[in-house]
Amino acid sequence: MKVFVLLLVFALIALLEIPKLIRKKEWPELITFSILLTIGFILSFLQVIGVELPNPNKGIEKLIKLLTP
Amino acid sequence: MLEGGKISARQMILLVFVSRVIYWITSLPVLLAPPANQDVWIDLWMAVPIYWIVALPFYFLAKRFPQQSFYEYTQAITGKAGPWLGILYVLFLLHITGLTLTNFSEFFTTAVMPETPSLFFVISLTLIAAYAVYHGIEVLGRLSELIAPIIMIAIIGVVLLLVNDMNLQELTPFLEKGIYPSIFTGLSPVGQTIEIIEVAIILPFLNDLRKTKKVFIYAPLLLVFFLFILTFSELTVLGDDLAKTYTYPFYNIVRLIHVGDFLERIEVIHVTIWILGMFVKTAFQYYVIVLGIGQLFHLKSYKPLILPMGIIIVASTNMLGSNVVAFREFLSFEIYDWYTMFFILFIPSLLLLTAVLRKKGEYSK
Repeated sequence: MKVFVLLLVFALIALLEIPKLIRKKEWPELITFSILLTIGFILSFLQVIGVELPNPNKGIEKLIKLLTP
Repeated sequence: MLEGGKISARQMILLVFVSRVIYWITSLPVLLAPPANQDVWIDLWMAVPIYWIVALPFYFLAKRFPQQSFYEYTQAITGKAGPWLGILYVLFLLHITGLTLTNFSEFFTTAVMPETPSLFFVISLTLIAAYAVYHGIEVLGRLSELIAPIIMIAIIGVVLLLVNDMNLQELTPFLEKGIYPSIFTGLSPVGQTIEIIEVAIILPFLNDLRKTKKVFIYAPLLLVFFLFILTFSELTVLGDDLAKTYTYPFYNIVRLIHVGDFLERIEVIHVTIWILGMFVKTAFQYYVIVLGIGQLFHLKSYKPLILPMGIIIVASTNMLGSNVVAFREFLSFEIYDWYTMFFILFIPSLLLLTAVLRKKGEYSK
């Protein structure tokens, strides 16, 4: 169910933006848009199916504790 | 041009004011910075000169490249490494936006509406912010002009209502550890003010470029003045020990207001200005991220990128987790200030040095 809603949201966003971009022949914009949408899809899909993604705060915290007195 | 709009120096100062002070009205980490005693309200005035020192690299870089934003002159100075540095800054701002949204939802789920899932707050705020970003920088400037007076009046009004509960005895002993530790107290609020990068990014949209200096001089004064009001009221009402233990000290003193038998439960005002200010703060950061991607990839318009970026923002906010204690630890001055200082002081200083050595940009008085 959750995955279905997620797919619906992404389809909606793609339908909203892609026809406009193709009509105006803005290819660089279309490529950037697709890359960002793919990154967003991978991140949210992994979270919806229950994969624990690494928390960036922890890595930064360890790095700073290592470097500072 | 990605952005045709122009904003005035006053709007830019107010944008910084709203973005920063709104965070301080809930959590106030400056109370915990060393020496963490009752002198914080004097020591924090040291933040003004430190702000000016941190602003110097940005000021000289803006002098050398008056028509370019931070992302653009990074590419002009460092050449091939430029886009990677730009992407690093976009990721940094993305992380900061995630932290902002986590803060927003955390305040609601711990203090106001404990039953609602935090994802609801994150998604709704991101959607409204996306709408504001869609309309460009001029709308953001006017929004700040509209909302900043509301926040100022609310803070001053609330503090005036608290005058009865203030106990000046809490401020003694006066300057217990001498004047030297105040430098460290001054560093803490400066380290949190990542808005200085956002100002450097939107600086070419200033309608009168001669007023660049004005923005860098007056914004810190306004910020520190309100920080002073907040810390002074918190220290005198709660006392130094109690103020440090609360997660949301200002929210707690607002709840104490009890004038006669009719004026109470003022915290609604606090929640209202928190939503208004957080909206402007998120929209500003969101705008800077999308603009950055547009400028890095030399696009004609940043508008198609708003919705996919919103999804990435929501997803990365979810990645930061919901552990309040770990979150507080990350935002403390030991970790967070070093992390931001790397981006707001270290890299810009190196950039300025590189620009001087490689003789990039024209320097005109």
